[in-house]
Amino acid sequence: MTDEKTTVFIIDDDPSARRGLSRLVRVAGMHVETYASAREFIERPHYDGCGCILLDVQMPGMDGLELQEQLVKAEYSLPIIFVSAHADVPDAAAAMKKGAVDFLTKPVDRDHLLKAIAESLEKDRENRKTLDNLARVRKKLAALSQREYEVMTYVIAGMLNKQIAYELEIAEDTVKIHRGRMMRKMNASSVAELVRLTEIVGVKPAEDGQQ
Amino acid sequence: MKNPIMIESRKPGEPKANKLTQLIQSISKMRQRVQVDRYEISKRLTALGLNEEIIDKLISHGIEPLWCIGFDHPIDISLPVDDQLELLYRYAYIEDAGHNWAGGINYKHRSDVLGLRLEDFLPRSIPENVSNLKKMIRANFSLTEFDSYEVYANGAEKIAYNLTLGIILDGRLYKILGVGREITEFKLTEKKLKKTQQRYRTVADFTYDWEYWEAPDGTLIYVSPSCERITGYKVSEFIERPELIFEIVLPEDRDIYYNHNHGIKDGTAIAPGQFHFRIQDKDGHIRWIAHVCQPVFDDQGNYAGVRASNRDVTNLRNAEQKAREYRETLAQLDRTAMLGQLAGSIAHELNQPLTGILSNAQAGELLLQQENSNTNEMQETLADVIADAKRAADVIRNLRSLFGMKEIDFKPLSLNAQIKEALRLLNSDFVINNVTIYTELSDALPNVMANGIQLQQVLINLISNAIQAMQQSTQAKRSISIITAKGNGSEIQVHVEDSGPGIDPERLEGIFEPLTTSKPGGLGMGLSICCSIAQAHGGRIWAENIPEGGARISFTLPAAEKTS
Repeated sequence: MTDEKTTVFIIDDDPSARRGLSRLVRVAGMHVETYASAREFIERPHYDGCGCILLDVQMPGMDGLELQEQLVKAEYSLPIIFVSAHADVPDAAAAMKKGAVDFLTKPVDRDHLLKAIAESLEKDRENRKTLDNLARVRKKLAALSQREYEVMTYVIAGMLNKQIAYELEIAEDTVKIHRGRMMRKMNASSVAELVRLTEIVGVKPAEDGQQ
Repeated sequence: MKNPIMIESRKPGEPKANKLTQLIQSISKMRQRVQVDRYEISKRLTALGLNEEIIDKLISHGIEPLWCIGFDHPIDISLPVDDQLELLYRYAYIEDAGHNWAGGINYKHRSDVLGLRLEDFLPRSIPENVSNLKKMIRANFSLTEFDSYEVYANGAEKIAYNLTLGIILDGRLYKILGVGREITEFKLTEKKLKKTQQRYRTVADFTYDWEYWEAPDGTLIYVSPSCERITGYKVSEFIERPELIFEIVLPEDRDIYYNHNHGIKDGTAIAPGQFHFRIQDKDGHIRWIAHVCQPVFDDQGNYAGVRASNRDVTNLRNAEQKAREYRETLAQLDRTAMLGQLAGSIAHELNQPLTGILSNAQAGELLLQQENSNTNEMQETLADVIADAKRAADVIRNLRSLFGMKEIDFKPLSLNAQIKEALRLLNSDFVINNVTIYTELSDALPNVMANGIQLQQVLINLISNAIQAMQQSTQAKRSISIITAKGNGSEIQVHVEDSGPGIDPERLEGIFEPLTTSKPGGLGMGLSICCSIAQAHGGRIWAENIPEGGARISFTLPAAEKTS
């Protein structure tokens, strides 16, 4: 485990299963929060840190699959591991389709459970890293002027300054100035790096003769 | 005129042509041969020693009601029939008649009828008269017999039997001699009889079912025409070959057909039983027949054979078969679904505490591996394991009570009454499957200590199994015997025997184990439930094959202690 604070959320209406699972995860060294219903979890303040959810399928009120659906809609990115006392193939398939990390049947063996949790946390870290990158690039893009942004789309389309000047009907020297500022603001040392950054956020390269 | 004289053959019931008519006939024969007119005739008659006077007397005073028709003009018998009829009505009159005839048609004296025209006593308005006269014309007035519908002096309409003969010379009709006897009563009786006969015939011939009457010697006295609708064979085919009935019965069902109850046993009538068998009709189709028959006795009480009724119940049987298959499939689905559901909910209920037990135990293991293990935590973990294990035990306990394994109510019951009740419930199955039930219920049995519902369940299960076992066999004789008897000590025994193929000796051993079945689609729960019920009652159950064929399942129940 890393220093970073991680939390495993256990949502299960059955007290035996909830107590047993939470003790096991806690003894394995992770911070645990338990909830007896999906509703209780939703009412909890939004969690920003690293973590995953251990979710029972059959629960009175909102069941595990419904909660998953709600979380996906709300772009709550915590990975979900399902546990069920009643192995049901269609349920498992539906859950996996919506991005669940695993579908375990009760009683759950420790090795399976800890492995699934480890995978989930790894996945969460990845997710969060991607999200961080995205936020950083978006911030840089926001600093670009209209002209600099335009020049950037031509640059990542692989055009030379001369061509860009022609397209934009401005002097080549002017293009050079915009381009220099843009590269500095994007903190990109090469065209290749610029292309990678713009790909993260999905900026489209300009097309020939379009403007 | 080929042979206008005498017809020897006579149908029964017809008045005899007596000597007098013969005489008249011989006279006419003579007349035809000889000269034409009246004088010549009398001359010849005189020569024969018969003068006009004698004939006159014979006619007028004869016992038979004689008449003689003369004509204003002789009739040419070569004319078309209708023309001759016209002329008969125009020219004919009573020339002579006996007292008896005149009296017979309600005239006082023979002189009263002389000169009566044909229309006066044989009115044209009555179609029979016209057709009878035409019959006479067509026969060229040779000896003709017919029933005339005459109108008498008092206006009464009567029917008379007539024997007539025309006197013809050179193709002309001069006279018609005849004898007429009133037969109105006879005719009316005959008509009535015919009508009654017709009515019975109609009733028999138009029955929808295939009816027949078989004589004691095996020949068929009557077969209703509906046999053709049901079997494709005609009435005549059955009458000619009575064995046809046996031949069309399917070989598998012949035993049933041969051995069935004809409503008579040792010469006395008993209630006829209905039974079903299959026939193959002329087109090769299989048809189900519901057969019922009873003995016939004549007025003197002599056995006169068997009267049978066969109804085509093919559609009914097919519908029943379908309905049963459907019911069985549904029950099967129901059972399977129920078991599946049950298994699912049991799994769910048990998996929760098992999750707790497993997780806590594995957490405990981890705790022990950690250096600074916390005793409190360890204790809590074990407490949780214990609580969860108890919870799992509760689940199972609840399950048992859910199935009513605990609260069974035992009461003293009459075993024989319980068996009769079960047989009553299954009655329609016996009829449908052609199963005969024999019971040997001991009268001297004490009550048994049992739960009525469970006892019924065992009986119905065992009897239904027996029926199904026999369905699979091709054996024609299907019977089930239920026997009750005193066993060892205070034990009462029940035996259910069938005439089926018996139990595969290899399966005999584990036949009461759950999930053992020889039935396609069977769950294999029936006998195991019977077994657990018998055991819950403190009884035993066992199965064996009967050396003469078939299977026997027996169980025992404890006798209820006599309370007095």
